Amino acid sequence: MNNNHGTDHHDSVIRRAFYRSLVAIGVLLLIAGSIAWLLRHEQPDTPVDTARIAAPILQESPAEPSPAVVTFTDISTAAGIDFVHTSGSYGEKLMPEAMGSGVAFLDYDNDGDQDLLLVNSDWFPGHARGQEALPALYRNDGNGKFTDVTRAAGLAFHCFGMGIAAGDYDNDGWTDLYFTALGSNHLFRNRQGRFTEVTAASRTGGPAEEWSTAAAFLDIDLDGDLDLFVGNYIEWSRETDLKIDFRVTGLGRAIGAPNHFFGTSNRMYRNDGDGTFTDISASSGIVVHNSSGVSETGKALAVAPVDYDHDGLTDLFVANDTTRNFLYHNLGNGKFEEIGVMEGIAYDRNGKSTGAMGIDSAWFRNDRDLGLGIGNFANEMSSLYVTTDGHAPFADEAVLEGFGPASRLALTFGLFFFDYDLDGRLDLFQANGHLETEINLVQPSQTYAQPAQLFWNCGAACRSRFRLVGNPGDLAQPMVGRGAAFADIDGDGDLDIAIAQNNRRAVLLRNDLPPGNHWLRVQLEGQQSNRNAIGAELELVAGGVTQRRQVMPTRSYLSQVELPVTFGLGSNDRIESLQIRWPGGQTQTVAVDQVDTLLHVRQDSASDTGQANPK
Amino acid sequence: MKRALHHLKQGFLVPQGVMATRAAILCSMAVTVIGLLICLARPACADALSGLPTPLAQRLEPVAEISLDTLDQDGREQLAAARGRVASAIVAQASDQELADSYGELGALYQVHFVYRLAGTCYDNAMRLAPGEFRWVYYAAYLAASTGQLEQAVAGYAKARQIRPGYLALTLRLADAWRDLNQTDKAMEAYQSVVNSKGLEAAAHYGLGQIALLQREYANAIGHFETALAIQPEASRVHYSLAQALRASGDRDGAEQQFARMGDTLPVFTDPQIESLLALKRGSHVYFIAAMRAYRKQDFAAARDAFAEGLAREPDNVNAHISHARALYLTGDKTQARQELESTLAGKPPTHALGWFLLGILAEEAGDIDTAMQDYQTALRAEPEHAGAHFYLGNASYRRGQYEAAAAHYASSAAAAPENLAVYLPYTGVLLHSANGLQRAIELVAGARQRFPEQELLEFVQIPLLAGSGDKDSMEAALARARQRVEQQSTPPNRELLALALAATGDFDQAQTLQDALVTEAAWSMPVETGRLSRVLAAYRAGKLPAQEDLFTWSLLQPPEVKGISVFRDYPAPRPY
Repeated sequence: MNNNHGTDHHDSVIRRAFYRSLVAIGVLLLIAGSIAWLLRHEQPDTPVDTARIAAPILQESPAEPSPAVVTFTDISTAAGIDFVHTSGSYGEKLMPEAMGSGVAFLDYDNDGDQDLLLVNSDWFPGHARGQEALPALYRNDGNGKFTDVTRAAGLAFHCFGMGIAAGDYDNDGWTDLYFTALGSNHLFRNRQGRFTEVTAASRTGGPAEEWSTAAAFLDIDLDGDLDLFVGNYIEWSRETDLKIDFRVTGLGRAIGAPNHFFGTSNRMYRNDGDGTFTDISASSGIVVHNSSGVSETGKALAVAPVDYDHDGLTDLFVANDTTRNFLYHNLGNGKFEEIGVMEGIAYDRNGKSTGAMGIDSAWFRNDRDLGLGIGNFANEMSSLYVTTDGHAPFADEAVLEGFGPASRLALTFGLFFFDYDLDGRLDLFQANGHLETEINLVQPSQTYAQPAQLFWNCGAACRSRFRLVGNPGDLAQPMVGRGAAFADIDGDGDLDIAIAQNNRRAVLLRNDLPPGNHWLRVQLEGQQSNRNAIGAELELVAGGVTQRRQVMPTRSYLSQVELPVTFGLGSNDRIESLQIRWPGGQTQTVAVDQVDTLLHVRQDSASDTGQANPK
Repeated sequence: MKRALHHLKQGFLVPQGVMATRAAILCSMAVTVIGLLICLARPACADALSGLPTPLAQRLEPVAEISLDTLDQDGREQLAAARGRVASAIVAQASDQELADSYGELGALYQVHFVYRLAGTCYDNAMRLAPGEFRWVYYAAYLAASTGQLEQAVAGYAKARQIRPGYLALTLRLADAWRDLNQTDKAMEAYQSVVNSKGLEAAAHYGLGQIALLQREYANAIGHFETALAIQPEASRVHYSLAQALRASGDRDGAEQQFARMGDTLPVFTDPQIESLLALKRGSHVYFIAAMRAYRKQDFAAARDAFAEGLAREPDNVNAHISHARALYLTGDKTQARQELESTLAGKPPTHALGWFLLGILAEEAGDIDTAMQDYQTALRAEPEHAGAHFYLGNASYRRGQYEAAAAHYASSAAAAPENLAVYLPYTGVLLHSANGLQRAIELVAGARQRFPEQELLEFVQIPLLAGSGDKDSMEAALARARQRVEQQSTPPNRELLALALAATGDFDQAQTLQDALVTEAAWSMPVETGRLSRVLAAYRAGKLPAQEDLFTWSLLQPPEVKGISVFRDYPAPRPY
């Protein structure tokens, strides 16, 4: 009994122990599984890129107006835009793989719709991993769809592409294309919608070891044809990059910082009018020398051509990455002098160079003061240099205008002014994205993908003119933004956006502005001036307010916007006047009796008045 | 084994029923194995910070371990020791205050080594454990400001000010943050409140000047900037702001003077807390960074001293030794520079091409060409495409009449650094000494001209080559170009080229006339040239083209003398430390 009892007792003890063991095993397995799961997720396979940078706390006053509700909708897939950028990344973390490429809106086939061109980088030699890396040209079919016509248009070519310039350099009525690259650049002549490479014949390829970035077609000497400016970045080679071996604590090898590399000089090609160009970089003053005659290099990533001093000649603002920005003052006769320091755009407010990326200029206050916006590196607020009473020097007013504080965290590439809500005031847009895929592991305030930022121009009545738009729809999705451009792709008058992402799909965002505000779009055709009228200035008066615009496709970062100029009119349905100052100085007044339309204005050779032809 | 099982049984279960016992044993073993697997699955080096014990895990955030291999040895050791102190405090169940201190100190180290995420986590833990401790609140606010999170910085500074209202440097930092947030009224008030506080005056005036400049009150801004400079003349960045204010107020000359004086130093102010934070970074890199900054300003003595400080902390950094040698040379101490390079490179496999290259330059400067060539060759063993070593080997070979070797080195140098104009000239010269060299030289210069279209030197060289080519089209091209040059600028060199081109195309009469005039002019303006010009004239009179050596362009094609100072100062160092 005792024994039995004892046995029973022991058996029950054993049973209890057994069951307890099973429970313990179960618990441990659960814990083990959880730990394994946690451990696996501590080192994510994919970059930490979905977190958003916290929007700054806006100092809102209830008395101040708020931006209209505008939604940007990602229509890339629906529109047929399936381009995926190839950065060429294969693990060595080479600098070019982080810089991305540009995007352009242009009407390559002259059908009146804005087509979309996306520049591509490439695989590094010996490291091709996936599909062929080509640029992509999408024809706008005019029905909300785009068709890939890259091969048919003759643009299926390889280069480690960076930027793009669009302009009719031969004045034949068809917009030509210039691709900048890591390596030689490429000029394509547009022959009735089909492109032919003319780099060698035109002598615009540049040396194979240069890394070119921004490019702009502009008429520097007012001879009626478009010359070509090419910005160059740094002296780079894979070997140098690996030797420098830039590292970030906690991440290991990282994308190199430009201040570890030597800068380079930019190039200017004068259009000789016969299909060839002459490199006048040195004689024109584009190669900068200091007072001792020593060459001073920059690290150009973007260029903004504009006549800042009203002398009728287009000047060039160049955003340099970690070296001072340049202002090439056009002296005429193909000569420039670099005066960025004296004119106040070389440094930030503290006299420090910034990591300048994208750039654009505009008369955003609807007065004579020109603003120059520059997107900078993370933890550097974007710059907003503004003239004083219409004249240089510029002063960085990003803080006062509300643009600086809200742009401080973002790493900005593309940047442009545009009137997204057609209220007659130019707003600001920034495409953002970091260089390092895993930056969030060591810098909690930074993420690889970052939302684009839209700043509404509230006007002079508001304490801070530019106010971050809180809910811009799909614009707020985190993106690895690089090049960015705008155009009215659907003919509804408001401006849509394309953003090139690095190593990701391109994004086409439709502006779903509710109807209400009026608008006028103007497309110029030069006769004595260059055919695209690049460099022409337009002054429109409506409701007693003068809006001033420039025909200039070169804006943002490595990108080109459409040629037509868009004026938002708000509630005004009448234009009081529209005056055009063509390159060369001729003025032309255009009578406009209709709004909410696209006007085509041809340069008048006989008088100072012209006819507007609504399309 | 049986014994072990027996012990195992005894240790875990009461052994009675056989089946139950076996099951129990199996379960026990499984438990053990799973436990071991869990332990193995976790990082082997997981410490108490990344895997907090239960009571603390509810209050604190774990601090992950990351790779520190990018830090110098000092930095790695500092962080490992600080982490160890936190771990010990956790294990020893130290008081909250002690644990807060150890977390805060670790956070400070992460911060100065730019590991901001972990720094923030450490400060958060420290602030939870000791909410009234000023240091951690202040450092966390400073970290937020440093990473652009200005709203968080303002909140943190405000909290820190509640803890220690009398800490005035904090007010200055708060003012900076408000200014950058466009809260200029608050910023101005804060600057004003410390503008007369000892050690803060210059920075406060600078801040007030910046606000005045923003508000376009230029006279006011000028006043503040001038005051800041009077207090701290070494704050050279203030010259930039002052220049901007002067320029905006119409004083262009005054602005130019100030722009010329601008430098990199902002006004400094007394902030013992932040100074002690920054002093934590005592590793070598802080000295190397300072050295490079001084180097870029051409303050070579300061660069030399800073490299020496850094090397005292990291004596195995070969790149830094090489940079140190360069700084020594540039301060005039060539002997020390050589010793530094020799002792650094001695006995090591040839891996640092730049060091060997610089040794070669030193030897060549001292006239020891054999040693120089050996050093250049060693540099090439370390880096077969070293452009500088190829160039100087080319020069040395050229001078010794080893033309083929020289041409090969120049070719390699040009391939490695095509942007270096200097290599194309002696390369052209040496080609003219070899069979079929003229054609190769013509092609080389044509290629170089495409690369450097506006370099006149190359055209000076090209015209005689084309003129002497024997090819009618080339000779006509040379003549056309020479004529164009004279039309643009009738200088003696251009006329000499025209005379040569005329002679080459058979017009010896005109060539003689031009050359005769040149000889006459040289007699009173450049007598040293008379002999050479006369020999050329004699050739024309004889109906022959002059020897290449008698043309003025010949000197351009000779290997240049070594200029150590340029090489030591300017030759690129991909990794200076």
